[in-house]
Amino acid sequence: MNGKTRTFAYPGNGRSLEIDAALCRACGACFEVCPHATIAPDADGVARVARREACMECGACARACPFGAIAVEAGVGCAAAILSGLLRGTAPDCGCGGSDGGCGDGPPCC
Amino acid sequence: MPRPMTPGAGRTALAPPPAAAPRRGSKLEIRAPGRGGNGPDSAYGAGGSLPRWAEAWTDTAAGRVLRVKTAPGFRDRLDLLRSRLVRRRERIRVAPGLYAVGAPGADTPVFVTANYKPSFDALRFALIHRDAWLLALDTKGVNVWCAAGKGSFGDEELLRRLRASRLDLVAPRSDLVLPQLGATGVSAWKVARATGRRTRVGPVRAADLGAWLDAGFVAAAEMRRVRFGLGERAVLIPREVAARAGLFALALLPALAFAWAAGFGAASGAGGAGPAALAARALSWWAAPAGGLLAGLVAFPLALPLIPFRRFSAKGALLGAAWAAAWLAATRLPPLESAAGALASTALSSWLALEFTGSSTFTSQDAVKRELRIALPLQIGGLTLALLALGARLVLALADAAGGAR
Repeated sequence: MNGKTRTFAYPGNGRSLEIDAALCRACGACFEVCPHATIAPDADGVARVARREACMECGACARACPFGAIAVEAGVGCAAAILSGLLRGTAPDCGCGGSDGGCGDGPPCC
Repeated sequence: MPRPMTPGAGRTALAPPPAAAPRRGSKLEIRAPGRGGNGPDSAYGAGGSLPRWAEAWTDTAAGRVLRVKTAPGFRDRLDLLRSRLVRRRERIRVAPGLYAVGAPGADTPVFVTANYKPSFDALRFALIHRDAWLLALDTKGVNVWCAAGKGSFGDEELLRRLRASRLDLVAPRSDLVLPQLGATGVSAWKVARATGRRTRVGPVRAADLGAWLDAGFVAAAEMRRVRFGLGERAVLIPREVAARAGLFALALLPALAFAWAAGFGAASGAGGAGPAALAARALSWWAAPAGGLLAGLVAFPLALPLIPFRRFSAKGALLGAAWAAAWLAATRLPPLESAAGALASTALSSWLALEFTGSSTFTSQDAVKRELRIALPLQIGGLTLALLALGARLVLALADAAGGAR
């Protein structure tokens, strides 16, 4: 690999991410799924938040944890989605996914 | 051969009415990709109507599945190109269901993906010279990460699709390889518990699958990271610009109004301005908002990590203001036009940059909400002031004309 992964961070990221070390059994499932290496194991393999400002609160870690040790308020971090949610009084929604909904934005991924 | 009775081979959640339910023998069932996708061979027609990206039909213990090609064809490249340009890219999709790569067997891994064709394509190209099963979930033509965020790439759909494709018959001992970015929607341990299969989390990028497989399902740290480098940001630009073409046209209206006001004043006085002069004046004002739009849509994604400030709206405003400064120096229009143009450029660039949070890969919802609360009133305020300046200019022109006519 090219070895130079830029560390993107965003102010206010990761505020809701909480790891309960007492419940963690050091299985590693959370840092396996984290796309930003936000979570790292400590010396005993217990998960801890290493780079909170990199956390986009996608919720993958919480879903991956079989022991319920992680809590995070997940959602799409998209201004247009949040705004359309505010205007329509619904949860943030970028409107894609339906047969007639055009997705204006969205993270590029494979 | 008796009809396979897979435990819980759920007819419940699967949409088609009983009479239309395609059975394994019903060969001429041709349906639009993306609808239903019951049995392995139900979505595409039999015989001559192979999709271009498929090599042949392959027989399995539960019917036929398509064996896909692993090298990109012209149409695949065209689809990828289209996905980067068109607004409704979710129409570029394949039918959900099971597919084969090479000659997979009863214990060959099953790679789970979305039915957005570029996602599906990236996966099959990454599996060249290998044997594998592909399982495309019905994500309505949305890529893995976005669909996982929305829940359509989720536990429920995965379990439903496993039942519908009768994987217990086709490949009873296969592991499931889940894409890492699907983890927002799919819980690997829950799926393992529900299916009795081993689940593995593949790398972020399909292109790394070969190395991941060769390393014995071990991902280097780099494979687990979303990068969002210059190239990944740049490919987003054409669609963003195409989607906002209307804004460029819309900005022509105030440009013409400004030019008309300027020409009106001049014509009522001594000078007089011909259509060419009016058009030139309109274009010189239009360059301000148009440049602001380009700053937010093109310069911002390209230069994202290099722009000072950390909040997207501030970065965008800076680019828009920089363009405004250059524009002011070059055009030297009267004060009201200048103020309106500079404000419009800054506000538009700031908003488009903030909207790019939806395309970026690292902004959390709560953090964007916080930024939105501060930035949006400023952006709306800036545009409102620009419109007020336009209104004032028109009033002045009319007053000027009335004075000249008297």
